[in-house]
Amino acid sequence: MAEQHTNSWQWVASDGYEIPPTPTILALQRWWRSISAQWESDQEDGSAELGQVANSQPLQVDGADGIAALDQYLAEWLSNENDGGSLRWIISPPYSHVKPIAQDWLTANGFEELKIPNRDKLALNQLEGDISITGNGPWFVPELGHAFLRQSKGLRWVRLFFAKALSGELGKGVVICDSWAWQFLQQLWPVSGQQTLTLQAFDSERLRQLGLDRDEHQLKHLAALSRGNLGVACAYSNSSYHKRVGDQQSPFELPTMPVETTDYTAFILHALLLHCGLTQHQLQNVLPIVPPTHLDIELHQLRQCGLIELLKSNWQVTARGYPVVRQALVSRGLLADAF
Amino acid sequence: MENSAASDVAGLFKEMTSTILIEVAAILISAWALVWMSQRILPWLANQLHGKKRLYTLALVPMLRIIILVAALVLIVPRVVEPTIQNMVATLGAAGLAIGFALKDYVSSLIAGVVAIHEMPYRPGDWVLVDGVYGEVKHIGMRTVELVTSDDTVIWVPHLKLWDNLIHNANNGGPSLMCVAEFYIKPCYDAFIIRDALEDIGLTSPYLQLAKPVTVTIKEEPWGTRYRLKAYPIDPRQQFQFVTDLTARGKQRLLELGVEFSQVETTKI
Repeated sequence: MAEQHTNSWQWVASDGYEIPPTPTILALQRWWRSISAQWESDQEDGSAELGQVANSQPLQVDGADGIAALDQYLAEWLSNENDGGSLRWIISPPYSHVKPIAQDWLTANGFEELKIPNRDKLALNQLEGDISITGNGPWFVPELGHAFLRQSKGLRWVRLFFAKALSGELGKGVVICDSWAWQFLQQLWPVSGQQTLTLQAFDSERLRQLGLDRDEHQLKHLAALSRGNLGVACAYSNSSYHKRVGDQQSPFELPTMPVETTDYTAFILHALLLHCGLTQHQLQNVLPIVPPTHLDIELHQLRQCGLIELLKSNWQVTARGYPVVRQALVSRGLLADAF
Repeated sequence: MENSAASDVAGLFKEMTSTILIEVAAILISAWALVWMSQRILPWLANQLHGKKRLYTLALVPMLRIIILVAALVLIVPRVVEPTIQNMVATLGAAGLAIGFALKDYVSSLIAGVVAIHEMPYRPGDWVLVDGVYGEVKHIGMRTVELVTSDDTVIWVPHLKLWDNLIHNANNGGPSLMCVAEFYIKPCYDAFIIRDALEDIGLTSPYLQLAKPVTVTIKEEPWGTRYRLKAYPIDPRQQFQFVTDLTARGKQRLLELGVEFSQVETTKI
């Protein structure tokens, strides 16, 4: 049993991430959904079709095995005292459980947190002093995606950070970065794929090992739908999100994009993913091309569709909405993460 | 003598029976129906897609139409004309004479239309400048190409223009279309600071196609310094909004940096 758990949590170089294969029926459904979205103006409320699956239990994820696997993966690097300036970049797809696991491991191993400036001060061009650490030990950045704004003055700090960190000036460290922010930041400062790591995708077998009690067909659907993202798979595995019992063709009901999806809709969703969530004020600063009244309307519609939610004043894409949003952004040619 | 000529002409054609007439009519109706359907279904389908998929689907429309029409012609001719060499030469000769005198320009446009489908100087979805008109190619007909300008004006340009006009194609069948936002600054400011600020303006535009480079070129003019911010939008249809975004945010950033804009006399640009 212990061996099975170890196998289900596997850390890999980020270019070694293997997206679970998509069953043909799911690919066809996605294609049909994108084609039919234009004329389906009177969408049925998806929740009306939802039912309860007998004996289904929400999946409780215990990150302890993930921490143990990370400990094993980075043990050699951590113990090597001759590479004082080396870095590791942990890439965290949204909802993937990578970030909390990595933060727990880093804290447990005595890494010092490197303070990043407040986002609102980034936009005002008032940076909090220099980039420095107080101790001599290893350090970590809890989320590099919070350290920039895609705005004319919002990239200065992150550029400065890349220059210092990659020169070895800051010493040994680990940077956690959201996968969408990482994809954008790679345009500013490319980093070798050898130094990046992430959790391997959760395919149907790994989901089963985690304790998800579903038949093989549903597990494959879930793995493909979530692209191996554990948090998304968990969101869909909750019983209230299942369609009728016995519906073998489409076991999981997805939220839909608004009927009138414009460039503005796509830009808002893209900005939320690139920045791991934004307040409405920050969103307006990042997207001045979107008139404020349009922004209000778009946010309202996206919330009604279940694609975004407001958490502690921050708008962010929901776990259930993430696969739909990702597909919509990719089909429009916007930059997406690699996971 | 007259009777002999009349019988020669009549000999070119087969005897018109009701069966042949029905077959020809059926072929014509089928061809028309197929063309009609392809001209509606494919553009509709293309508009559900983005980027390359949209452009490739749109490019199928004229190609499919020419295939259908040639196929219809191949099916009709042997049903109407006796397919001997003598008959074909006589028929084509008469047709050539009529075209040469009466329908020269019309047929020239038709032939240019076929050439356009082969050489593809413009395809549906391309942004072209022909004879001073800039717009998106919406439809390639047999005789004309239909452009829609940024002001939503529809303009039909005869394919005939292909023979002796320069065709400027901004994206040439692909999704990449370079846009340029220009800024005119007084010459006394640090050009590299302005260049870096403008590059960040390009990089932070939501319309930007991030896989393509953002560049700024600088040129000294008698009235000041001209900065040209060049970048590619995600979709060619976004070009005007993209330039608007770059210009508005660029101006705002430059004002924050405290630079002054040059007053340019339009005749000197």
